[in-house]
Amino acid sequence: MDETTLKIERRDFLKLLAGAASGMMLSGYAFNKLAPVSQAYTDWPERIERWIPSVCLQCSGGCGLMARVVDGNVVKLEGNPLHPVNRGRLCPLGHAGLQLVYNPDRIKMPMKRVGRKGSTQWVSISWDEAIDLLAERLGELRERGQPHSLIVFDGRPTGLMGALWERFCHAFGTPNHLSADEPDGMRIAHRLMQGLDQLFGYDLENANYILSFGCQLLDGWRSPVQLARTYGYLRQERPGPRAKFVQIERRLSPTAARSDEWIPIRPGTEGALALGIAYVLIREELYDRQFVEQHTFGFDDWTDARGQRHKGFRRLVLETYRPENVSAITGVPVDTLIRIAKQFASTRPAVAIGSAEATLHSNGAFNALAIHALNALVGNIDLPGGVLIGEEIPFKRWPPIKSDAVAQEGRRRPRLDRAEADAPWLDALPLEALGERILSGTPYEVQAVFLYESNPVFSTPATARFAEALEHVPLVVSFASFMDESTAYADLILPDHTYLEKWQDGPAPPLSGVPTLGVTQPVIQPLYETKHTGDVILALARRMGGTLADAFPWADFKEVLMFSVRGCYEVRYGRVFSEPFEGAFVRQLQERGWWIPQFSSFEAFWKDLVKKGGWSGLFHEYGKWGHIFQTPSRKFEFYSQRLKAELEARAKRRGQPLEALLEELNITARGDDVFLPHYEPAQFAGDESKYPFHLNPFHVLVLNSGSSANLPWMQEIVGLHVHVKWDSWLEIHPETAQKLGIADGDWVWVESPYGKVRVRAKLYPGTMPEVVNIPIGLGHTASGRWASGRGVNPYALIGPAADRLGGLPARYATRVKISKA
Amino acid sequence: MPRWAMVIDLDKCTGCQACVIACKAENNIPFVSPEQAAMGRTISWMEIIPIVEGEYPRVRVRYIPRPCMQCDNPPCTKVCPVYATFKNEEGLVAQIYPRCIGCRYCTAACPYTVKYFNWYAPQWPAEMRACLNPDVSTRPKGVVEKCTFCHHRLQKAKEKARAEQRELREGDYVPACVQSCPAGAMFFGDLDDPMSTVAQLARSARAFRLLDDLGTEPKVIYLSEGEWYGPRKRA
Amino acid sequence: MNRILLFTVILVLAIGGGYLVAKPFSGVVQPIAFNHKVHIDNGLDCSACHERYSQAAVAGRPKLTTCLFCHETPLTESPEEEKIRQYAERGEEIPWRRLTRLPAHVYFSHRRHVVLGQIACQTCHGRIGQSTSPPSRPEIQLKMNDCLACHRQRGVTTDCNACHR
Repeated sequence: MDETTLKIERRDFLKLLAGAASGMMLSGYAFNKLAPVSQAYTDWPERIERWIPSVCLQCSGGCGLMARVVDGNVVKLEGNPLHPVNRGRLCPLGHAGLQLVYNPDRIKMPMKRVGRKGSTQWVSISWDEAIDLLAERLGELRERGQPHSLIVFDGRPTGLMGALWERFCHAFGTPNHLSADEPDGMRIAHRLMQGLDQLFGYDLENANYILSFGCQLLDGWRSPVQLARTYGYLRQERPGPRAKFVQIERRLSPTAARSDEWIPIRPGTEGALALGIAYVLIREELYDRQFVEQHTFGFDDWTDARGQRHKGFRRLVLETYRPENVSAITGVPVDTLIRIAKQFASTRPAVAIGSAEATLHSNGAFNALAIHALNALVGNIDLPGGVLIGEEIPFKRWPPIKSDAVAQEGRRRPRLDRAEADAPWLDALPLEALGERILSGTPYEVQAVFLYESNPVFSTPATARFAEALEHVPLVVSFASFMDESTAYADLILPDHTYLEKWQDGPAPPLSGVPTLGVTQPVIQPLYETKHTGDVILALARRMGGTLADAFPWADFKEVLMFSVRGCYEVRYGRVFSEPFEGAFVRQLQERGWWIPQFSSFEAFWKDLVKKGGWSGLFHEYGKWGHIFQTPSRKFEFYSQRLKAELEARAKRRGQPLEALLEELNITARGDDVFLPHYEPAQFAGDESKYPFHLNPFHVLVLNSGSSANLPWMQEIVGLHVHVKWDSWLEIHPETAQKLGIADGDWVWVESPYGKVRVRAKLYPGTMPEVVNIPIGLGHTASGRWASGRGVNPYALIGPAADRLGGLPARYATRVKISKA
Repeated sequence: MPRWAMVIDLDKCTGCQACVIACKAENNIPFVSPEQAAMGRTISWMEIIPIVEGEYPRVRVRYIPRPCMQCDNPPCTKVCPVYATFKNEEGLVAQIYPRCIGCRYCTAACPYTVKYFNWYAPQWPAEMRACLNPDVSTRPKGVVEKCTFCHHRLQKAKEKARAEQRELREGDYVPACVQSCPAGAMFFGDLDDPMSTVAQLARSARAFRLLDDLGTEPKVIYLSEGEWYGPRKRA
Repeated sequence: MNRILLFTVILVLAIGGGYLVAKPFSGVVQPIAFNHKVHIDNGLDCSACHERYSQAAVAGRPKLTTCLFCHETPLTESPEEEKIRQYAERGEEIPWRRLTRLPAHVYFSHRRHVVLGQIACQTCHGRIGQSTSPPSRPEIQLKMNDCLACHRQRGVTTDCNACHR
């Protein structure tokens, strides 16, 4: 003990005694001089508070955020009141962004596999090392003339990151920039009937009748907050008569529960019901005659250039889809069908909305055609309250790429998901089919896989064998923020920032028809050694040199963003987000062709853009008929000439008659019927006698298809209507359960021809007697402490079936049996 | 003196639970483990009560967002032995944690089951502590907590108004749930100001209050078309 | 003998009682032996360093840049002053330690009390402005009763909800 300490102690000792003598009035201070000095008083929060606008990227809804940042930490997320998508409001998932950024299970630095593949043994490496390693491996592919064997699975293929990946693939020499996004079969109807390969918007705020074929309008479809706003507006705010909202669905989902009328329907027969409604419209002459005459092709019987007569949509419908027939197929009573059809026809504007739920079936593309045909019958395309074909965001075009010989050679190879020239189906293969192709080396061996915002091992059926496929590929690179099921097979993990730590574009999904671009900007410094995947692409290209480096003249992704949004500055319409009344005034001027520049320089534009949160095109221009009907007839085609041409060309290439091709595709219709909206009987995996129930896996807003399962707040609210937290459940009809001797909360086995899972049964009267429902998004085997090992993944039960025209996975086409566990 | 009240339009509510999570984020509400959740110990100041009625195919699901009713005649305050919960002059039913002894009499007395007991101190992973709201204290083990109508926002709003030398205006003070509601189903304001949105909505023919016949005089007013349990009464 | 026994008893009670009564409280040691008085005497106002008291809840602690505003070149030969520039060279903020603390369940705003309520800093912080070396504990240790007494005296709210959060 040294001199000083002793002195203090002696003095304190005396004080102590003095204190004791005066009635034990001991001061804590004096006493603690004896205790070791603690580190207690170092925390001194300054509470310096900032509100930073950004865009939520939890889903693709594109809501504007205001992030409350206190002393460098984001402590609350609110909606940005200026953002036209959400106007200051936010969904539960948006709020839970905090638990994503501050999640303890985030991947904190780049890592390299050391153990056996899939053994989840990694060592952390530096970013330089990681990019060197990757550049070296990719360089080898190019040297061997195999650049095409790199596959990029991109879960966010829209926007600038999608474009950046496409450019990388182009310059590198692979055709395989593949979407891992959730498919929606309505895209096929839009392509075949209007010649536009895109999803359309719907002006629901101005609609008076909404006929939704399974569309999860209030459960996460496209832009949850915008749709909830619309719902509230239609219910109690909009002046005039109340809009009617009818939900045709095989489950009483929260959306169906909030509709005016729920119409339960047998899975996969949505197209038949649409045609039954068309029957009433045509039979009773309730359709929009003017629109049909002026803007459609193939409604009435017609004669082609060679003098051959063809059947029109009218005759097909009147001959085949009498309400009794349709009722027998769909299980919807005849009087309900007629009533709905009459309401749909007599209420203007009325709009029919299709969905993944109605189109991810064995007959999905035909269902899509039948549903979309209703919009043409009531003439509600490109009108207020109808179907809107949105404009692209006017990004500035990037300079053209000069690719080298290796890249050009690679790009000439077929895409992994494109059928060979002689395959029967029409479209790209679904993600489901690719695992098998990777394993069998068809059409070539895959040497490298990139996983960007996608987790195919979890989100495709187990029958797709994606885990085995990733194990088989020599180089798997994951850009994930969490150790998910697919990343478990990675050789190299290059973790991305979370959306609150980075620059990105946040385009609004197609809904209002108005191009809207939100800007995601970093609201906090990156917490860990993560790196923007855009910056990784740029660094990789630079490291690889040559034409690849030349293709990316930007230092970082922020430069890419600034370069691109210059287009919004230069285009002569639209405006940086502003107060609604101000926006309304400017919109009126612009609709009349007036354009008043808002900023004198791009720098001023950018500054305001970042401050307000984004840019909006303000209004939708109606009446661009040449743009919205890009079909051979320049009209809406009931009779799809494109479908006919494609099928005939395919049959010709294969040197077989069309008949044989249809046989192979399992299409029952013949003649002109094939190319018209018609009902193809839905097919299901599993024999009905052995597997008596339809399995209906359904999406839940808060699980975000599974990527939110590691957010504890979401686990706490997952099964509201059945009182389930932190677990999966099987919804079963109470009478069905009774027959099987199953009580509420019992463990049951759910078995399909492909697998079985054990789950708790919940008796829910909103279940059809022949259907059982399991939520999608739980049942993780990895992805973090709160996700892993909770609930079941219904993809374990689903087979590899696909839509007959090829492009859609038939996710709702599996039968199961239930037994008490 | 204002009388703070909330109006919830059940015809607009989509049951999305944005209010539930907005509340949890705003008020540092800890999550509990799945095992604790199975014992009914999940804390949720704002909770949506689902009501599933009828038989297939005529099934009806209703969602009732349920914060603290901030009763004008609260049953919980009368049983508190230590004055930890009481009604203040603005009509807010306060819950003062340092006074609370954890007897849970109030929990039992509340007919709306809005009171939650902390069976143990909140357990956040170290990383998640960074995103706690500095305006709201975290609760220790052994105290009861409940919805406060985000009164910490009122403390700040009042101060801001005074600094700007003006009265509190409608919209200055809004709880997190109301601010967040995607469907615009929630409203908040001074019930004693006849011109306020809540006062006008409370006069609507659609207005009713939960368990009105108990005489608790709740200041959360619901709006709904069609039939409802019990008599309709104007607030 | 008796006196020794009595002394021992008192000693034991004192130490034991001390453990029971006093909460552990460590003295605060600041990284730099800051002299408040010299700064005040040179005409600086509290707000020169605690700049946010008039706008926000937390008065704030001086940033390194605030210190460097005057001390970028030496004003004295004090080794304590030299420490400022050493922190600057290392690119670190000065880790000032908090002296006055509030319980986590209390909302207290400096703006509200100092600007709107016109209360002098000294009312709560005592004579810290006259200190020549950093005190290791606050001169005034406020209890809730002190707050309430003042609130009563000034006729302002005594609603628990006004301060508790």
